[in-house]
Amino acid sequence: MNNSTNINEDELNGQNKKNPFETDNAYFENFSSKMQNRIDEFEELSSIAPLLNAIPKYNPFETPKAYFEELPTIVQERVIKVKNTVTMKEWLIQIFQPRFLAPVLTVLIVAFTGINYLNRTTTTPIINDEYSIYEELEHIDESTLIEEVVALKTTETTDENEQVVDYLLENELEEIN
Amino acid sequence: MSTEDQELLEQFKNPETRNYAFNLLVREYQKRLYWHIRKILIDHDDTDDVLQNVFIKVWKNLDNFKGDSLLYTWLYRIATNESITFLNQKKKRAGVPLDEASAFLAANLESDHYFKGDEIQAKLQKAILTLPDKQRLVFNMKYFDEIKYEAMSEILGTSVGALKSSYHIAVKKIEEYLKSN
Repeated sequence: MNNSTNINEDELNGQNKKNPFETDNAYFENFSSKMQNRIDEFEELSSIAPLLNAIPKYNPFETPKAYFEELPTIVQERVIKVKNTVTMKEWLIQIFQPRFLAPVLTVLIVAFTGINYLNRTTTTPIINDEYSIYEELEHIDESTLIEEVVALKTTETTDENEQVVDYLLENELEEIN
Repeated sequence: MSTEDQELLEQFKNPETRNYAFNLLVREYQKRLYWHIRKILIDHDDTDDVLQNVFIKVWKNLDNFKGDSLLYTWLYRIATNESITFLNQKKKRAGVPLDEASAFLAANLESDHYFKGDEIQAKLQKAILTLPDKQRLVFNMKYFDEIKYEAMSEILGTSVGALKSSYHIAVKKIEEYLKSN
């Protein structure tokens, strides 16, 4: 034997021979009761269910080949998709964060004002002809109207003319001739 | 909570090691959760769907896990709830009453390409499928997975006494089925 081997043996002999393995502190204290429980269960099973007890206990199901090797990757891919999908709730929470609140409120106010403005300026079309003529007459000079009626005096009276006359009468213009 | 689980949770909370920790969690618990779900749903494809959903839920909620219970009991609880919800939805779609799953799941068993049991194993599985869902769950967890009643109580939210009695009744029913068939 060479020197180095002797040194190793000496070193080993000099070592404190101690078991390097450890157990849970309560392992040996609980061991006997655990074993007793198992025996009780086995005895109970064999007494109340001898047929069941006689059937070999093993897992009769299988998985496709390499299923457990591939599953962690599939799950990770799904997690990435979930991370990238922002739900409506998360979206609302993001919108109402202080840094987004001012721009969002500005957009909402501008949109509201715009819609309000459009609603005011867009009036419903007047389909009542009578009302339409009265409206138009308000913007025409009265003397022009009188001249117009005189010119039409000899011609057949139309509904429109009657409306013009009515208007003038209502505005205390009794003499049109 | 075990030291490993605690380390895993700390790594998950750190954005830099989050993905790594989650990958470890999936690798550590995938088999146990798969077999737990598979015994409830029987069909592999259904089990795969539910298991993936379970892990997505775990990803979303692991930050809220306070460590009041063991990590594996928390995971089992999510897996159990997801499986029961899935099963009930499937029964509804098929027009099967919620308390009646036997024939429905037995059909799944017969069409399952990944069932490798012999005749007696098939008979045992059919016997198990005659049990109500909760009783079936208790039987599988105790008989096959050998989960302690205390842990089962945490997972299912049922007292140890009720679980023991449920298991006892389940064993008797299965024995009766095996005798008469």
